[in-house]
Amino acid sequence: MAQSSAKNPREPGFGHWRWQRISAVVTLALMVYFTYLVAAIGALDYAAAKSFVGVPHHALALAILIGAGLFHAALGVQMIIEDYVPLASGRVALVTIARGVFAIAAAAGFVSVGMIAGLI
Amino acid sequence: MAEFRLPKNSQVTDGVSHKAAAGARDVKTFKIYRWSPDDDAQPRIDSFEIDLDDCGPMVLDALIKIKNETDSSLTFRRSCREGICGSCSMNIDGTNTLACLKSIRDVKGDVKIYPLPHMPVVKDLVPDLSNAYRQLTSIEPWLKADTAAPDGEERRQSPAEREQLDGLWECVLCFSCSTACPSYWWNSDEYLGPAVLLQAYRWISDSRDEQKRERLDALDDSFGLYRCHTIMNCAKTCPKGLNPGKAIAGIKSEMAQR
Repeated sequence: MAQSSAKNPREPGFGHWRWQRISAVVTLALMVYFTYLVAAIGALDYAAAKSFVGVPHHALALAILIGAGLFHAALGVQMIIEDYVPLASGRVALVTIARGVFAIAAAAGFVSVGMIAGLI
Repeated sequence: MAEFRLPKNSQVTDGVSHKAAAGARDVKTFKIYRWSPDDDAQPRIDSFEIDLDDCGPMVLDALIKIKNETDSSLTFRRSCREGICGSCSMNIDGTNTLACLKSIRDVKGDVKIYPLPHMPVVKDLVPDLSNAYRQLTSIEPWLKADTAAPDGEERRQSPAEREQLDGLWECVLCFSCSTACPSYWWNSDEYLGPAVLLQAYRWISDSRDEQKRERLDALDDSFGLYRCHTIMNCAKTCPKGLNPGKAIAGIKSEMAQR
């Protein structure tokens, strides 16, 4: 009964679909928090803003937002590539490259937040 | 890689123009896509003027009239003439529908008729549905039960269980929905498409079927099911008023709950 294609071996899709939705909800909720954060530091100078953001719960929220947001973006870009790029034209390579780019961006984000929070 | 030039036979030319008989009073022009594999000619759009006073009310009536009286080479599928067989699906006035259910009076201006989009054309308005039928076969659209019927004769349903099939059993497999779906256009070799997925959900929802888990296992495929991005062209175009997008959401929901 399996629907499979010679071009594309079967790969479960439920996990991708579920994580897309979970990461969307987490990102959306934290974007509200991020908006509050940006509004709160608007009137502060650099040093005061840095220490405000460096408070552990703010830094943690930022780190989760960076992780969830970029994870969601990676899943979305993967979906776009799979939609429009045929397998024979390097679909797998493009998805791998996209994941790598988002992983580097996430790592850079985590390091930045760690530095602001004084952990690095 | 992507192709940036249209294939030669995608360029449609102007074709033959057939005028209405002298004395016709209520004239409507039908512009119909024509292509034959028997020659090397480009596809063309032929124009046929029809006197609506001497024609049935539906687009299919006009097509039959044209074939009977003007051009017998015009090729299209049709059978029941009442929206049950699903044969006469085509693109009319920019929307996939059944020619037998589309009133000529509902079309403003000329009636433009093309075959279902993004499918190989066999001839004129006849698309090659081989891939769609292969996909339908892959979901095994029949009742599957290992146990014997309780009374040895019938598998009964309560009215509530039977109601679960409403909005699903009415599909006539015209493939208007699948051929209106951009996801199906881009990945029709891998994505099952709304028509087939609605059929799959029809059997998943059937209280008499005993292979729901196996059916869901078979559908858990990143391309077979999850290419649906809820664009909803399927529901918009369905000539029977069904909602394949809702059926696909139902499959995803079943997938999440198990």
